[in-house]
Amino acid sequence: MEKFENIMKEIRQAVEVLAGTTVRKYKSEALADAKKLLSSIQDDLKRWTKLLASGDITTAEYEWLIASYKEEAKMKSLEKAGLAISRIRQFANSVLDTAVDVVFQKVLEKK
Amino acid sequence: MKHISALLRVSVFTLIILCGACISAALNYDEQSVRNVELVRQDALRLLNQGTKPYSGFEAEVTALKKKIDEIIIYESGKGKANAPVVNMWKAVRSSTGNLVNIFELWERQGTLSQAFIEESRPRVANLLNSILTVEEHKTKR
Repeated sequence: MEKFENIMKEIRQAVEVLAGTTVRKYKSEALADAKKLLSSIQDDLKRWTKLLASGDITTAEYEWLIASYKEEAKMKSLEKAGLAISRIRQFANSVLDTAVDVVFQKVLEKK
Repeated sequence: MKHISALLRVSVFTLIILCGACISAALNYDEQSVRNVELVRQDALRLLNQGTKPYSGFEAEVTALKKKIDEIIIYESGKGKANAPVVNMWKAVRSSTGNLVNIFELWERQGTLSQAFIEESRPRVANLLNSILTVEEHKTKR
């Protein structure tokens, strides 16, 4: 198998071309994000590429593993949205509790 | 005047209680939802561990798991718009490339899965389902 470092180098070059054609206006930000992403998946990518080269996994299995990263990003963003709604709800509950406290206080005060 | 003021107080109080109830319905901690994630994870990992064997021997169990996920989507959708992130996560589990059910489609296409793939995909599957569990566990306990 070709050295993994060479493969990574080629991926980085391809990503740079891709950024130049698809997100020209934000190329530097996009490249910084891409660099971060590639470095976070590098270990897995290296292991999976070795498994693919040795025939221990199929191309379809390799593709699933890579796609699972995209799915993880999607699930994480939905997780954040879900947690944000829960936090807003908890805040709303506190507001309602406070409102009830104030109303009771005022009503009982009058008696 | 006293009458109007009392009526206004009762109305405000009723409105507050009703608003609280509306928000609560969608976002309360639900033991059934947590159990659903755990059951799906347990079944999925158990089936995945059988992946080196022919798919045909497990087709009925995979179909049952897909049906279970479909039922969960209906159950979670019934909680309203505020539960949309959870519904969308389950929909991704059911239909997206690189997510859970897609592994079983791969198993069906290939006939078997490789041992190395099973080992590599197991933590990925657990990770994907953990996102749903995290949201469910952070819902407010009454």
